[in-house]
Amino acid sequence: MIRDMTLGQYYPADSVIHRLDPRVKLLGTLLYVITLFLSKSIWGLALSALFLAMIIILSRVPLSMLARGIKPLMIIIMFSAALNLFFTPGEALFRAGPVRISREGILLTSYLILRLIFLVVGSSIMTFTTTPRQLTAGLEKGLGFLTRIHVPVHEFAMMMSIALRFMPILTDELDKIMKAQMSRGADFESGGPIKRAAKLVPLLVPLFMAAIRRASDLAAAMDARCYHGGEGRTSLYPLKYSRKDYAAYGVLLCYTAAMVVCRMCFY
Amino acid sequence: MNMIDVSHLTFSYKLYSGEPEHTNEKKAIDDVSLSVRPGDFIGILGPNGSGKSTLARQLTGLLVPGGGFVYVKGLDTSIPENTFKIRKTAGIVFQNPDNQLIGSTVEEDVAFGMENLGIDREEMRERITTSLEATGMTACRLRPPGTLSGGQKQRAAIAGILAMEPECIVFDEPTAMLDPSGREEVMKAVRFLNRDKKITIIYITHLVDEVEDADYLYVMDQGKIALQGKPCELWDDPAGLTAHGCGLPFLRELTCMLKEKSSRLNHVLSGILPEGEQELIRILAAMAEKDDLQPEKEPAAKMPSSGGICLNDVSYSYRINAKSGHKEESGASNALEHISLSIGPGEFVAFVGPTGSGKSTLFQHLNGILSPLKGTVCFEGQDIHEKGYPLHSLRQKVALCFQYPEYQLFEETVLKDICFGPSNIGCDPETCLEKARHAMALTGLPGELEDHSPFSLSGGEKRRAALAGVLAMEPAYLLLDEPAAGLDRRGKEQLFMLLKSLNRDHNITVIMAAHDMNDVAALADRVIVMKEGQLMADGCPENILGDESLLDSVGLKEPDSVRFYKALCRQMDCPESGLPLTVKALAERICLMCGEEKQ
Repeated sequence: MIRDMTLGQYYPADSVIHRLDPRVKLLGTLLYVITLFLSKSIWGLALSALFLAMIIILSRVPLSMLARGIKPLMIIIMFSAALNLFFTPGEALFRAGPVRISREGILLTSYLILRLIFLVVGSSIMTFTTTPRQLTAGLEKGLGFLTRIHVPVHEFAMMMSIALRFMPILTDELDKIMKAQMSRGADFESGGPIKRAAKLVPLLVPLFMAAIRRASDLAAAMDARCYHGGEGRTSLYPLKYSRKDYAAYGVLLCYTAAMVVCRMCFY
Repeated sequence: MNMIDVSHLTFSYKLYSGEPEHTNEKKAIDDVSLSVRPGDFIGILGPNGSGKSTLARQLTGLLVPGGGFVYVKGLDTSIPENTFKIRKTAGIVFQNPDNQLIGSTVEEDVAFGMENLGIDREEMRERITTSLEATGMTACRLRPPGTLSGGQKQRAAIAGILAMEPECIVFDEPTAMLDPSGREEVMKAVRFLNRDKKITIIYITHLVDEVEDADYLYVMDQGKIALQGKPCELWDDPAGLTAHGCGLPFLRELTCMLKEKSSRLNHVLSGILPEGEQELIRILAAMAEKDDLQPEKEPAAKMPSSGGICLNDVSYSYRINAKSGHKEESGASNALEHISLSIGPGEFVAFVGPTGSGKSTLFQHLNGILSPLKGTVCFEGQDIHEKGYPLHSLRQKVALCFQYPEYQLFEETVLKDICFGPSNIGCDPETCLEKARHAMALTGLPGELEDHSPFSLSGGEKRRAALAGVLAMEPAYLLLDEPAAGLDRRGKEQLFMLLKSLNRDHNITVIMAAHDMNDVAALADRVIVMKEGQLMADGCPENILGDESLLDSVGLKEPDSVRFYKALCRQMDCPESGLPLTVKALAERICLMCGEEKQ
């Protein structure tokens, strides 16, 4: 069940987007999401769509993969769409008892659905083309300026990469504990919510014990290899901007500017 | 200068038992002194809980002495300024392969220590290349740790230490969680580091065979150094070794038994100390006559009865992540392909095969935890995946004990934990307690432990408590996945005695997965070989364990006694008859061959 999560899934391929510096991709995603909500016109939306299409083609991530990413979020998208559809005031097109659909409602709803889909696809392009390690490295370096105001950026990045490394191991562990307790007659499926929650004790205690045991082993192993925080650390793959990264920043700048112009001209 | 000097070291752990005033101290190391010269290969032997791992952490400055001193290349470990110098000089490789890899690929993991030391990039890449070469891991450079086998993970960990260019490496039971081929890979790498790279090795283990050719050995028991000496000196004191929970290497044990059994052999063998197996074989071959022992009639194969568990053309595969597909890459898919077999009541069956050959997956089919994609699983003639089949009662009758079962303990007290199973199958509290106490007695857990927390028990006791939790359900079939993994010699012997008596006296069918062929030879009366999800062979131990090419094809080795017996027969140029499966059987056979009366 936990294995089905698409979070942080990486699609291995060799494309321009894959090779970009993770900082470019992080900032790009952020800008893209902001501009999505900047535009209120069809032109702005069309521009966003065009830009996204370009990125998808460049990234060589198959459309089916992207579609799979949207699926689990479909419920949320449909729900907010329904809210918009039924509760937007304006010129009524359809009326049946208390249900009323307005012209503005339809327009707003289609905008919303498209925006949400663009948002999910846009950010999943980032996770599909960036390994978790690059992502944490990008965050660490990109947010490095925050250390000056005493935000422990390196520590957070280290925590994140350890979490990513141990997630599958602990998932396996949970799976094994569950099967072991089931072999002792435990039943995790029947009963009401309170009863079911109580049944989690035989799972959670061993799982926490396992996590603590692993954490203390790992701490010793890191200690033994002279880990002492981020200070004076070098990196095997230091992040360095190359020409294509600057070019990508240029493209991003153009796109953002175009979106801002769009917003000012077609409100 | 000595690499490491330890003088009168003591160290205690604090034990918290709820209230602060009840804080106890547990002495882990008690007045230990030792010294290690540069370039030595030192073995430290001892049973579980003897303080070996604590000592390992002391030697690398991960723990600081409570009393006495530890010097690493003249640096006092209790002075904080020395910490990083000491850790650079003396590295450590731990037991659990999963818990010491930090990087998301092998290469990144090897770089981790160097990154911490602030080494520049070019040098890092060079050192990664050389240390991966030294451990034979070059081909795995870019693989994520999750896709590696246990042996590969440990070698990656060794490479990570090696890249920091230490002069000494401490190994804390590095092979305890590996299968035989992984064990061999690691041992090979360790020996290479000592011989060719001149790195001082301190090797901690409870397996005597791994330190047979060490330069010097220490035996620890209850925090003290109980015995020490050159290996050959220690082998001359078998009683002392056994008293401290260690055995003898195979060859020494055999010699010892031969001397005991036969005065003539005692006379011949006591004068000389056979150097290696070849010499012993030559001596024995010269003395022995043909092996004219008529093999006992082969036990008639038990006919599969309608009772018991029956698998019919069962196939299963884990849904493999299409993109990463890493399970396939490592060749260990844990899947099953067209398995048909039946296991009748009262059998003692051992499943053997490398890690990932599908043994655990198969076990989970036998008690209905997994259901086959194709084929059927029947218990006592009924398809267990038919609608309305009571899986609950199946799991009561066919109990499954996973690898490291102590990791599933969760209750406040041992007794409560053991009651978990019976209460799940609907027994009333009285019956639960009764069954739990009975199971405790069966596994040899003393009654006064019933109110202890399961987490306060020793390793062997925890294992028995977990086993009791399964036995309390009073199963007719007991499935065990690597029941002896991680246990020391004493724990293992006790466990095997228990399993044997469960099978013989309580008529419980025991089905276990194992990698140590010596264990299988001593226990099972049917052996099933698996590889890549398929059944390779199924038969009595004599046939399977004597088939060298079959075992070799699945990365396993013949039991020592079978290998020795075959070599002896080759030397004497006489046909083999009826393989001796244990050291004891082998010793008896040799005595017979040498014309001694059967005792």
